[in-house]
Amino acid sequence: VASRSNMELTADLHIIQENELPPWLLMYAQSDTSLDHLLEWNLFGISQLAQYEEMMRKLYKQQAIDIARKYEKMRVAINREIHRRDASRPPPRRM
Amino acid sequence: ALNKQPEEVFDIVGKLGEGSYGSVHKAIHRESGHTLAVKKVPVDTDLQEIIKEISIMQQCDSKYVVKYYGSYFKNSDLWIVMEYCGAGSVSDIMQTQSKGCVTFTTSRKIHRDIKAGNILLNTEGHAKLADFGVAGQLTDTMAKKEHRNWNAILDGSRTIEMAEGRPPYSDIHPMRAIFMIPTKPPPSFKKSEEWSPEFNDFIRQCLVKKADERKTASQLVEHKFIAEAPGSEVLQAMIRDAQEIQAASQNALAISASITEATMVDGGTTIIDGQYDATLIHNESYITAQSLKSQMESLRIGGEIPASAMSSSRIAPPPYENAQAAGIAALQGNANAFNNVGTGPNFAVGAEGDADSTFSSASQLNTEAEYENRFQRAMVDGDYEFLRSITLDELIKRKENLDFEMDQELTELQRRYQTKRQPILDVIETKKRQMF
Ligand SMILES: Nc1ncnc2c1ncn2[C@@H]1O[C@H](COP(=O)(O)OP(=O)(O)OP(=O)(O)O)[C@@H](O)[C@H]1O
Ligand SMILES: [Mg+2]
Repeated sequence: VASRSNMELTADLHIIQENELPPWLLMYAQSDTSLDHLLEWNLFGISQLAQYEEMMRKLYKQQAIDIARKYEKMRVAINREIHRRDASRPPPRRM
Repeated sequence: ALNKQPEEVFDIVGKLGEGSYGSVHKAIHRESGHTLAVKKVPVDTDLQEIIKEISIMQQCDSKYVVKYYGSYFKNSDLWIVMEYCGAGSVSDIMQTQSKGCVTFTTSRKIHRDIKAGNILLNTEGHAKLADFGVAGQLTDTMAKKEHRNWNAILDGSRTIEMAEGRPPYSDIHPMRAIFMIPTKPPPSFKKSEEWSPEFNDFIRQCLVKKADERKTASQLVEHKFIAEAPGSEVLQAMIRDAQEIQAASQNALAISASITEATMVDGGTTIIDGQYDATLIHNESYITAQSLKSQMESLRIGGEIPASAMSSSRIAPPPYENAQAAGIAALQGNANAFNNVGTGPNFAVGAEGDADSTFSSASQLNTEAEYENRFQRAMVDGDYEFLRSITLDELIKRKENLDFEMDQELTELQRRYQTKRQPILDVIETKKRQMF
């Protein structure tokens, strides 16, 4: 049974909706920083800038969560393998 | 008296403690001789957020909530004047008592950042909730929506913190706690036999995970443990003891500094937000300078608004047209440098696999570098098969190293986002300065 709390967990760990983020901003966030100086942010208005800045913060948080999740999966996989070889060690918990 | 300078209205007579980003001082109201507490908060943080919190505090007229009297701007600090709670916080007292005190549990409600440090006691032993996120704004940002369910559970955990001296999950990596809390069975006392059956049962009821199966606060108050709890007399003796011990200790302040640190080490959302997310305050309402002013008046905030506060509150000017196109053009350059297309924001955005790196597809893993490669790769594509071909020792070593590696990656992410956000912040700053 996919327990309800697991489903809630997944929902809660996705804090950004794809459509709320302009593709170019995602691109900016993920690209190499060497060309960032070409961007003329001062052409935007303050309210837009504030919005972009907030999205960047959210994206940052999302990525931090993603990293934590990635490591958590690895931890479960390692635990599983350890348990497989040595059943006296505790089985991994389900994710 | 709001147009006066704060030092004309009261005298600061001593420091009470230090919080995560402000200090609290004891003050005497000159006119009435009453004792007050003044919290000094630097206003380079988001003023709108502070206003929101003060207004909650102001609207709460309850003997269970620390009273708010008014605020002043003094240089670059906001001074928040509130009721003085002579016995300090629960965590202060816990430092002097070997066992915690259990009758505070009734005061858990609405507060987003309940922990031993934010439950204050007056000298009669009455518990009062303090700072509705005025302090919490740094530590408890996104929590409102995203982590609502977890927070309810964390609230229950506070009770365990108060009894045992530390909250559950305080010994695991804070980022891991976000997985542990929803997937593990609810936390409980480490030594349940040391607590009464009523208390154990009360904790169990508080920590029911599914929100709709959990009792409401008012139902919980009727629980035997609460209903039959002794009155505040019990605490008065404890507070007196604690105060004597505190008085005896020469460097009381050094202690309370370490207490503050200790209460910061709590599991779950609080830490994630505090540590990795310190500036991730999101703010849905954009306000005009005018409404900011009127809000401040209604909240009895006196004095000149410092420029630093204005610049951090968000004021929406008429948008500049045509800007978007220019921005996009400039981005084309970056787009070319962008070599990690195809990851959406909803999954593993941060997981950059080194796709170029080559490694043997065979199952022997001879070198350290090959291990490394496989490991990184598995992280990205979720293929953990390679784990079968490494030694048990290596597995254990890997596992022990996970927190450290994750920390490194998170630090790098933070550094990267700082670099990416700074130009945006700089331009916002410049534009705001031009407006005044
Ligand atoms: N109204 C008050 N009366 C008496 N003492 C207070 C009052 N408010 C705070 N204190 C003391 O000052 C200390 C610091 O309080 P503060 O709210 O700044 O930090 P905190 O509650 O420990 O952590 P956080 O900043 O996360 O809320 C408290 O632990 C308490 O001892
Ligand atoms: Mg506090």
